[in-house]
Amino acid sequence: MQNEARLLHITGTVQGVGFRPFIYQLAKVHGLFGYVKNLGNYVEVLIEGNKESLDKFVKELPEKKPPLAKVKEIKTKNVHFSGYSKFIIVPSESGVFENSIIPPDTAICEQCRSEIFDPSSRYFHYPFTVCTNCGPRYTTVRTLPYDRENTTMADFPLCPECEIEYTDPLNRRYHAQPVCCPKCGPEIWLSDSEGNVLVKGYEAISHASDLLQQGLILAVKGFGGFHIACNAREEEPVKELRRRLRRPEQPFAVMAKNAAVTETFARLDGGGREYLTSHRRPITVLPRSKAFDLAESVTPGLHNIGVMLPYTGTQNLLFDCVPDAVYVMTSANLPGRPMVVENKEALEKLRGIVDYYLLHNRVIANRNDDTVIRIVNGRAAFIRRSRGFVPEPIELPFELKASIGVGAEMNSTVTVAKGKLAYISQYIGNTSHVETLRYHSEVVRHLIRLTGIEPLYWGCDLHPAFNTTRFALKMGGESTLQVQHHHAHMLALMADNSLPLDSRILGIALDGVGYGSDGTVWGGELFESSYFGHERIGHLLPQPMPGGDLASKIPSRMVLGILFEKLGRAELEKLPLVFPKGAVEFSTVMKQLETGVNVIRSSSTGRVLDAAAALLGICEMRTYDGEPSMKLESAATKSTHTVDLPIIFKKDINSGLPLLDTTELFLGVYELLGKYPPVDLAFAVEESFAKGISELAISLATKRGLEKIGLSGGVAYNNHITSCIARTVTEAGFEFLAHRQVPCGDGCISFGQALAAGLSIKSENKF
Amino acid sequence: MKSNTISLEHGAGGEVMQALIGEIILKNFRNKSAGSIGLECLDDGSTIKLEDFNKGCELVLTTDSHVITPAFFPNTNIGRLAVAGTVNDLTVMGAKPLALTCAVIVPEGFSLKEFEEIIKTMDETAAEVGVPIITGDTKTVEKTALDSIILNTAGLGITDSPVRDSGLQPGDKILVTGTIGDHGISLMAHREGFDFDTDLASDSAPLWKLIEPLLKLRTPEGEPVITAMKDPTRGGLANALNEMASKSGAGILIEEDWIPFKSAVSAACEMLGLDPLEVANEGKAVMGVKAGFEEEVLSILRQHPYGRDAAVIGEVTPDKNEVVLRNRFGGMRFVDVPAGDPIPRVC
Ligand SMILES: [Fe+3]
Ligand SMILES: [Mg+2]
Ligand SMILES: [Zn+2]
Ligand SMILES: [Zn+2]
Repeated sequence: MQNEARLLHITGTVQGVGFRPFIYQLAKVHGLFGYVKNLGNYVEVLIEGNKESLDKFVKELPEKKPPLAKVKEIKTKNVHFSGYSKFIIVPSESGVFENSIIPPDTAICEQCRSEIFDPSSRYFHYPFTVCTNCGPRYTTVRTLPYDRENTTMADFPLCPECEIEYTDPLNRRYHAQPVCCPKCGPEIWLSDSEGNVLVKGYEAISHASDLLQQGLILAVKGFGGFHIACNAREEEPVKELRRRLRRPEQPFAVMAKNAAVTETFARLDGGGREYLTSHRRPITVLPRSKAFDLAESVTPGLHNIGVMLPYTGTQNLLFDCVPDAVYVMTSANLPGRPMVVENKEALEKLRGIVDYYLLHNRVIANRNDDTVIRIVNGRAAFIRRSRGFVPEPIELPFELKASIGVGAEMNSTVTVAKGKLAYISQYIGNTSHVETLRYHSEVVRHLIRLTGIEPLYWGCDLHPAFNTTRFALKMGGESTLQVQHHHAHMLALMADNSLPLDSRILGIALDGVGYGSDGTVWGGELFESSYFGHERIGHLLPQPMPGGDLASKIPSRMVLGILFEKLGRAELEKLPLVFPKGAVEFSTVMKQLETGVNVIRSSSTGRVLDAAAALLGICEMRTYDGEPSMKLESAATKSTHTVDLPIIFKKDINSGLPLLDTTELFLGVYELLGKYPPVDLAFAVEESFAKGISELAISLATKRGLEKIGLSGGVAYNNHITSCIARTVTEAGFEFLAHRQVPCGDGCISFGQALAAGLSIKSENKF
Repeated sequence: MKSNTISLEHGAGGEVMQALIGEIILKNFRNKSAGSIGLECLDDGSTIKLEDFNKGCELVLTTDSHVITPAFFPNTNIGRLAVAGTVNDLTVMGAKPLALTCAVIVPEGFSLKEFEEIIKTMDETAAEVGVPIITGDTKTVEKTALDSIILNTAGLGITDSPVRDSGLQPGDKILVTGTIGDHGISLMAHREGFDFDTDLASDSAPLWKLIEPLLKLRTPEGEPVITAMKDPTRGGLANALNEMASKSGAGILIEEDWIPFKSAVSAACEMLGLDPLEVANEGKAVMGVKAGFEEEVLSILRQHPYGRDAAVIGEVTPDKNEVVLRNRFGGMRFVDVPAGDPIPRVC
């Protein structure tokens, strides 16, 4: 038979995922000779043999690829036959890894999992068992190239047995950088609060599981940081943890052994199952089931719960003795602050919070919080895109100059981008905190180093007081572009939907706060948006925020602000509002509204939804980000009646733009207080708001000849509002755009900023 | 948005005012130094060096204009503010006040009785520190040009070792001479009619007698114990600390719990959503003190009625230009230079 030769260039996630051994094995199966070689950006394969086998090889390659590999493109060409006598894996030359892609961290695979539960395996009960298909990756990488000596596994030289597995192309562990075994790998131990080692190895884990059953609180070190764990089935430990963390209401994520256990307290029928069980193992926010049998205090006042399945060996082993256990697994940090990653740091910072520590001696090179996903309007929305996804790049629909976006302030991320790829960092947190800002600059440095992209242009927010703004202006100097917050949202949304460079959309940005191009505070905005500029064409009625940011913490202040001009003092006094300082505060707020002392107007959507929650008695204090509006949404899910509220449009006296009058909406609610249950009014507020925004968007898009209507901003996590807007605009014949791969909230801002900077555009209102 | 006209923000003591001073005033005055500290230092005053004068002593010159509505407020009036302000600018330069001037611009229709009361208050305030008011000027303007009185005072002082804004060294302790935010909050409450249930009063006071004994203190090596000093007026403690840190090329870490506040000031700020660190003070000084001497300094300060609430509030760090506030739970945030009205940032 005629022998042929073919040269394949394969791009995608093809490094560090067992791709070369896979090619080796596939070639062997088909009796083909040649070589496979890593060339940094791509993998090169030369195969020789008969045509039939070559065809089979090429056909099966993408079908049988290793689970973590992602094949983007295979370029094939026929070349001269040179007569190889075997198939070899060519070792990579140093230097070719410049653009190498580091894979994200992945849950332990089924094969490794079964080994740690197999008494005959040398990996029995060993929590750090991994192979090419699984385990920590990004969190271990110190620098490139991605080789063992540049990872935190460098501290653990391979034993002879592991060496054999590591170097055998036919082995599942061939060139899996974190390979190790009980003889040569990291150790796990249980420590008391003073740092004394109590017990090591599997016994440490089984003992930890006993302690959790007894109601104690533990710190558990994982891939990218520490979790704080306690028994989620009992009220007492959860309440105790809330007391110790001074976190009265913030929902805790939980971990359950598998989907079956999850179904005892949460529903998987809304599309959540796929994400919950994926090897990326995000926290998936699921609706609580009727039979919800966890401690109520795990997720107080909410209709849903964040759940994840075990992804480390340790976590899997924790369920060994008590398979139906459910643990609170909350990241070990103060809200918005970096998660604890070091053992010593954990012993100091978690003192008084946890009773015991389950520690190991593998260093965490990159902190990486759990990813959080929620199904919104039938599709996954990233609340936080981090472990399991980072540093996978987002593909851009156009070329970009090397650029960086430094994010906004809360929920910040960093993005570096070049060419057609954008790398969004892990979740960083609230950069108004000094520690978080330090972590932020660390991430900037690290991301630049790992991607090899030296940014030419810096993008940051327009808000003059954001620490990230100051940082970028200092770092980027003349090459820094201040991008209006909501324009960054729009750019992120457009690129997330792969819209080409000449696209224009009607963009809706609904969030808490963004510094506007006119120096006022925005947050409920409609734009005609392109990649090169945005024009504000509609918004919500700017409402007074008495006390500035204080009005975000105490939503009752917003209620007074919204109704101040419409109702008299006597009527306002009768409202069922709660102020932490009581009547004095009520009077102070009234006086502030009269005199204008520290009263800032904002067209924020978040503040209006917060206010609705306060007026309806659903939430009186914001103890965590988004609490009032999240509770409003939860209450609305219980609604049984439809109530109509006035949707009134006016013209803004300052901007001259059409606006949705949220005061009229509120007056509508006010008049119906007591006539309908709060849950019905909660639903009605969301529904009327969403309809009002949609109507405004539709009329403006029609006027301007725009065919696509997109939605970004933190409010887009609200399933009811997003679904309603999506339905309304789609029914009116528009294409609805939502986020796909990047968060709707401020986690997307750095991405939008990097795009703006990389396209080197001005953030002024021009096209 | 940049504008082509002066706005109120240009005088608010924040970044906008700094830009006005830097870009227009300092750029256009060519001759602006008469001694070791000139205009470009933007300190509380400047020095004048005289040949063959009092071996190493320098004169210190400072000036300050006062506009405040209303001119009368709880306990006192603009007269006290004008004298105390200038005395304090000399004081925080380490200079003994020698003499003051008094220039008045007053609109037609201003009550003579009130005018006299202001002048008497100036006299009383000056008498507290024994400084004479030796020259002056009076102008009247039309009602439509001005709605209240403007007072300008200049002060001449003398020192043999001026205290700078820029002398902080890592390790120094940061002290304040008393409670923070009293003046700004009491004035705002009075002016806007807030009723906070407690009687708040302006802290306006001339500090020379309080500070004088500290200026002589020396370490065993002969170095001044007071390394830097400022009066936290406009822009409050936040502004003063940032200026001191950036001019010294150092950082400052402040412990929130250590800062003395009158409970009424804290309560008012909490309810109004204001940061008490950004509120003006008119009778306080903030200073750097060599580590190990803070107790001695405190005990001296506390002997004087204006220093009874003096406290150590933090220390100088090597982190360039950073002013960080740590709360009781260990959370840290940057203390920003106030920029006019606070802009919401909580998403
Ligand atoms: Fe936003
Ligand atoms: Mg001064
Ligand atoms: Zn595996
Ligand atoms: Zn081994």
